Amino acid sequence: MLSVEELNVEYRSERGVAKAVQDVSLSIEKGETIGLVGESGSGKSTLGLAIMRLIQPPGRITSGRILFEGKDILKMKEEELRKIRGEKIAMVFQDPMTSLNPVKNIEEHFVEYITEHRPKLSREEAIKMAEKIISDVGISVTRLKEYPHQFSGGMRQRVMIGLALALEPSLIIADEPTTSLDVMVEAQILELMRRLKEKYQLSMILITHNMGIVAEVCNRVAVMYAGRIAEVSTASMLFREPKHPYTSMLIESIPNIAINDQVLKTIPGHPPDLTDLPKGCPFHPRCPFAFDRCKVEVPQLKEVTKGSYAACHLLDK
Amino acid sequence: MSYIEVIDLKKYFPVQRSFIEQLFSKKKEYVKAVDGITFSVEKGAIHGLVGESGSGKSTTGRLTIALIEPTSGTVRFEGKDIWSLENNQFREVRSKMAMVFQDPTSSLNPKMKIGEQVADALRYRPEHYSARERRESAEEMLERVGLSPAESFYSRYPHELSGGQRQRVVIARALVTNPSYVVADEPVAMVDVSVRAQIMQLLVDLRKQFNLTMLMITHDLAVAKYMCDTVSVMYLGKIVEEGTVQDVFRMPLHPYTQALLNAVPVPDPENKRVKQIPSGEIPNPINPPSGCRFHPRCPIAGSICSVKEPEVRIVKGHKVACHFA
Repeated sequence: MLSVEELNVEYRSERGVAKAVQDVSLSIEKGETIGLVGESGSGKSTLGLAIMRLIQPPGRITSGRILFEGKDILKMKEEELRKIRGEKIAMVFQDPMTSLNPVKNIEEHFVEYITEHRPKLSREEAIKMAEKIISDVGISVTRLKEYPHQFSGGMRQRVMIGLALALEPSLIIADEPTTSLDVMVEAQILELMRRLKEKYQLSMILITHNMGIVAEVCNRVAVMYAGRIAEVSTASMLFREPKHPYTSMLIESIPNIAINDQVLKTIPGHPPDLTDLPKGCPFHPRCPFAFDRCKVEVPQLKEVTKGSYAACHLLDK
Repeated sequence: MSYIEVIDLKKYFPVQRSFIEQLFSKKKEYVKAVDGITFSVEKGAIHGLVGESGSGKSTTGRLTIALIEPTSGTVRFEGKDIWSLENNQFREVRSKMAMVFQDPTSSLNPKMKIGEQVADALRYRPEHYSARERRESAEEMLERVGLSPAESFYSRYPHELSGGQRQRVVIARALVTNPSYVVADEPVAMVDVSVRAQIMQLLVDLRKQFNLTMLMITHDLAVAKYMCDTVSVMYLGKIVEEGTVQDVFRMPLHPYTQALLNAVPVPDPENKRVKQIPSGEIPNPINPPSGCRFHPRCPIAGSICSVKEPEVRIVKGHKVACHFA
């Protein structure tokens, strides 16, 4: 359905060129939920924005292809692109408050969004569509006339999800959709997204730093580190048999509420500066298994077992 | 005797009223951030305060180190009621307390060398350290939080450090004054996932080395389970359940605690549970629900719950405030 090929994105600043995404290739199948997991600076959000071609200067997509239903998004004209954004691919962001206009009521948000994309629709028709969606996301239709500040954080995120679904896209990119929410509301929103995904037969890219959410929601997972994909695998395989040292160390360093008397392993060091990346494998300074080759040569993503890919020189040994 | 003891503590913040509202003498309203809580922390223990935003856990933390004055109730430190102390005694008690804040970026001065920020914490101490002593203590503390070699870290600025290293500076600055009681407010929430375990381990190690008593405020129940000895679960300014981490997390008795634990995502795809999440969100603390504050969302609420506030009782070895526990 969507395939990203050899994508490179960089940000230029006074401090140098930050290589936010490097040689990333990834494909998303129809109906699947793929998790993009990584820390801040791993490139996961940049990748999400790049797919929608929403990278703002000083950021720049320097090379690669993003094929959606066979066409390269990076080569599309603005007009063509507008038919994709919102209509085919929609985004849900982390902070619903900054994405909503405080002086417009919820109904107005829907009407504006729908008629902007479908100018032939009347206001009444747009309101009808809004009413249908708003009850789908668990908000009473009577609240359409209310303003964003009258909604709680969880309800606002429901509005954002409703807006994203308004034009019935086939792919949703959700960037940390529950990060600003409390754990109970987070569980409600994740449940809602799971239900809507079935109902609307959506494919979903879920960007998150939370391995727990990945484990509960995603079919497949891509682990990113310093702008590159370290490992791609099915969720069950990733947690049972991680192939990349970063993945396995990360899993062992996360406190798990379901385990009693857990012993956590710590990963030494810290994520690298993107303007001054180490040579070779970006993880080698923190990797206990690193050997000479890791310091000079960037490992490529290779299939290790069926459906499970990792970028690590150890796998050749 | 418990090291920290909090008795029926309340903190109400007045809600700002507009001039018009004052003119028509609309009733003055209060946010009941903390509304009558009682708990104690034993010497050398890490006590967790968990709950969602708006539950009052940060306000409670600030109250226990006298950063804010309570509306009513008592805070005892080493047996002494801190708000009834004379000025000099109050200062002495305060000098044994410290706080580690959540966001290392906003709590450090961007224009000051990190070593100087740590040393500066010693400037107004009753012990009157000389400049050289301050520098030496700061360097030693930087070493102990893992910023080694300290001489090279001393003259760096916050922007030259990673997020995890900045949080280490914040911890060093809190501990350089040699406190015996530390309140850590979400100390790992802003730290990169791969660095969190390091910081948690550091806090656990420092607790032993310095024989610290700690109050750990966190919304992350897995972090609380890993780090704390005892825990209080807060909801809308009240403690609903309290006990050892083993008791509370393995055998939660309050429906709110059960729901919270059930909501936490588990990093294990094989661990498939049926999630029963109460609908709705934490209500407004200006007009909290009558009776048990959780009753509008509670799956097992009965008629008594909306009328009568449940007393804190001891059930199966730990404290719980629920009519049906």
